Amino acid sequence: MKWRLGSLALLAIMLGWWVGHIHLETRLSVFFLGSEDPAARLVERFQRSVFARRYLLAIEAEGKGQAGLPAIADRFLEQLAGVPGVASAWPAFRPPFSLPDLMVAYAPYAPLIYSLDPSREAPALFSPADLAKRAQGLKRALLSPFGDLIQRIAPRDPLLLSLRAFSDWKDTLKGPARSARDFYPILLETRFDPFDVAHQRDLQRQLQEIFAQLAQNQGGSWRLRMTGVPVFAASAEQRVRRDVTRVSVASSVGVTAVLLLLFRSWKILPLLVLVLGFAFSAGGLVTQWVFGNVHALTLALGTTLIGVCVDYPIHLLAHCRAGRSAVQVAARLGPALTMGAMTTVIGYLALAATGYPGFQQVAVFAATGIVVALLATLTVVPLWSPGAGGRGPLIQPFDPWLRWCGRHRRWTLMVLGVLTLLAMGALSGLRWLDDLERLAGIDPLLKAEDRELRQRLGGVEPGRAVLVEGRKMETALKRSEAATRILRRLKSGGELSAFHGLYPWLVSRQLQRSNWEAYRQAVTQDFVVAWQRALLGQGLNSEVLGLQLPDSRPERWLPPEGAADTPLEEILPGQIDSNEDGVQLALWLGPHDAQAVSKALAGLDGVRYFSQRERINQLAAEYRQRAMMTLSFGVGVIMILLLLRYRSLGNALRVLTPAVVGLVFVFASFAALGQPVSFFQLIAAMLAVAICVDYGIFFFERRAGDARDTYRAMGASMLTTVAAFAALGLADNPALEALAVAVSGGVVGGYLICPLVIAGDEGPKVGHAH
Amino acid sequence: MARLIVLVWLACWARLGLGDDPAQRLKLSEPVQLSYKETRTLALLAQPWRGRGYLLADPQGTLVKLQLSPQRVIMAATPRELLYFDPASGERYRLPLPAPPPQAEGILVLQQLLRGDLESIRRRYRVDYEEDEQGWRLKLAPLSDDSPYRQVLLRGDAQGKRQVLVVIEQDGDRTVTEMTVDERGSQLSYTIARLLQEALGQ
Repeated sequence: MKWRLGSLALLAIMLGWWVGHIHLETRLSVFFLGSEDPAARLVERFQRSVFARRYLLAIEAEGKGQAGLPAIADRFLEQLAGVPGVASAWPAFRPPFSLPDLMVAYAPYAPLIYSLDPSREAPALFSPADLAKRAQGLKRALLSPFGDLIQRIAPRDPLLLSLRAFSDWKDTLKGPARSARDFYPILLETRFDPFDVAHQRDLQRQLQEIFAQLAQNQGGSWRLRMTGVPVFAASAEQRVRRDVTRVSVASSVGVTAVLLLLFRSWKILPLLVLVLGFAFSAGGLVTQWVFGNVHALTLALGTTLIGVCVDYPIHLLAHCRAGRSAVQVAARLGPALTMGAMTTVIGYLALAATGYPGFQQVAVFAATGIVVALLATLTVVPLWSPGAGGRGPLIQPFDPWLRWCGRHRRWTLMVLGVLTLLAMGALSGLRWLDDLERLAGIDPLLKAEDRELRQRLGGVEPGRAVLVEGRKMETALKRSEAATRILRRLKSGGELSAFHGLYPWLVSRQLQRSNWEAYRQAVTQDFVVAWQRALLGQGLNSEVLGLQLPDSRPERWLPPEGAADTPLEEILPGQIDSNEDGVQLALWLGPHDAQAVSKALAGLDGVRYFSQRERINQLAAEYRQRAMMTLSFGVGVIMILLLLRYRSLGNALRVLTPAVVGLVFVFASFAALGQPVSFFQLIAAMLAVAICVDYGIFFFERRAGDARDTYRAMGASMLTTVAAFAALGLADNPALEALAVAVSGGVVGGYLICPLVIAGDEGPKVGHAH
Repeated sequence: MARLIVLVWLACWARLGLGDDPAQRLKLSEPVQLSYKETRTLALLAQPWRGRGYLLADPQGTLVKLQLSPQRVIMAATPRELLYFDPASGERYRLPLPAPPPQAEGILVLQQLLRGDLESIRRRYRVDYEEDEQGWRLKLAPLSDDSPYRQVLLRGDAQGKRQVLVVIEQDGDRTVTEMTVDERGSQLSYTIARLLQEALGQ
């Protein structure tokens, strides 16, 4: 009794620790990209930046020609200020910082920042012959709509050199080209972490409620649309949680139903729950310890362990008959169960070897769970079921198949051989799917909404950037300036619509020095006098707008953090990052010709074009190649283990063949149906092999029963495994669906092929009970 | 400049006379065209700058300032945006309304006047209105130092033919605009629309 209580206490402690310490991760990017890849680092940096905390909202009139949009938008903006969690909200066509004020702050640095290529541009820029024209331009600017700004800049920068530096930002100053008559975009920045889903969802609900009230008060038909990282995060979290709940409930119900149907007894369930409790809590704790969190998708995939882990107690209990205690059966079955568990663990560890971040977690979770389930089966189950109360399945749906195989084995085997050859021929028609975005199952409606809103706003495209790296900030800035020169050229050539670079907010010391030298050489005494004359010629105040002869060194350099009070995090959101490897800068891109941009940047040191989507798909292709290698390697390792155990190539092949042939049929079906195959199916293949080999081992060894009893117990195991994996098919996530089909198909195929490849009278029959 | 356009617009409306209830008298009943002469005295100009042209306004709240001298320039304010087009340089700008303060200040004043919301204006400006047999005078003095204006003064003769708008900015820059009624009638709507199209580049 005390051992029983002890086992319960241990389980309670493990579960308690689990509940108290598990940090559940729901970000899909963490599962699909991890945190080591450069793509992942960029995504993570993006996720940390203020960019990610921003919503893009849009108010639209649903009826054509409906007036009053600015009015409702203004009232909405007023009310947003009072919503908890809203840091600020502003019309998207107006930046949250005062660009004119910042340009005035940068004006004293004009001789240091005016050009990205001073050696080439300075001769034309400081041509004495053009001074009259420049003075005329200055006067015109003073009297233009930007006269207020020019009045503030010109006394500090009479040649208006700083305006050249800010030419990439000219569009921002001019405002949007379209009117806000039917579309009023608003940017809202929250105080909450973008992945603080509870708060973000609450905020989204409040926004909709406030807007609905305003729309009702104003009359007419209005619509509030929204997108942004928090919207995707809330949706993804909801979908993942729904998947986890759905899969775990379906998996548990399915396995329970299969067990009740087969065994017609409730008695077996508490023992299975006990084993699963140990397996899950141990898997969760070790995963948390190794990774610092447990991803929700790991839990969803982990529920398939139900189907795998119950195999061990089922086998044990199925062989507990009169005259055999559970301890004795455990001792007899131990080696075969251990061998089966090892091959399954190899299958799951092979997941980790693919390098796929999410599956590394799944591998640790499952491998731990399987080992602990085996230990619990061999040690805890006999404590609770010491006697001969066990029994095999009462319903034997596969007995007729076993009999058929016994009677017509030879020619059925021949048919199988022919079919296998045909299936292998069909494999050449397999199509590969390397689109991780599709596999991540991001809500297509949200994606479409996001695309449309961003296109209408015409801003940068999230996920596409030019990445610049350097050991030090100065190096990174120099490289980013080289990239900016090229981006400007692409923009003027129409291959790039817009970009957000770091120039002139941050300028390398080298470029500042080059600018200053060119300026100093150009602004001579003659130049100063000529400018004076040009000013007078235009009726401009030469005392205020006159030039001084430059000294050998500037009065001060532009500091590394930009001019005083420059809100860099607002202006350059997510664009600057540094760690022990150095400094990473990102230049965000607007709509562009990817090939042209990539080609133009090729050859620049420390600069590369980055497309999150392309990188992700490239990763998927790499994962697939690794999965192929892993599959081959995993099958090889299992084969070696079988060889070591049976010391016969023929026997090892017999045990392995059902699993492999089963998979050949599954993949041939994919090819025949035109279903594209991703690396998820390859991973599933590895799992199916690992699980199916158990059947081969059990059927070949038949330690505690005859072929029929063993096949029945295997049938129960197979059905529970299929029930567990089939539950994945209920998930919205396409990756989980892929796993469901491939594993279930492979396991059923392998199980059916077993008695064909391994004859009922074959095998060592080690420790036969009768 | 944006602020100035708006204030000139304000002057166009105000030229109809404010009387005892200025808010009620602000509504234009038909389009109007005024000729104007503008003198700007800026710290950065050695001598005052002078310009002249026409101002056109309609009851829908659109104002077009067509500068003819020293060179042709179109500036316009619609309820949604400010437009600028300099045919000589080809420069064309569109600034959405409401623009950020301080550019929005002028339009805000105007909108509140048009709504008859003098209370809101009085929260930011001290409003003095005087009228005698010579004419009338409206003076707005900001209550806060943040205002872009030090003072706005609008005065008109008793006959309602000539008005003068004086805007003194915080840095001392001063703009004086003299306006006289030139024409009125619905036929001006066509001219306003055509100038707006030209400013938009359509």
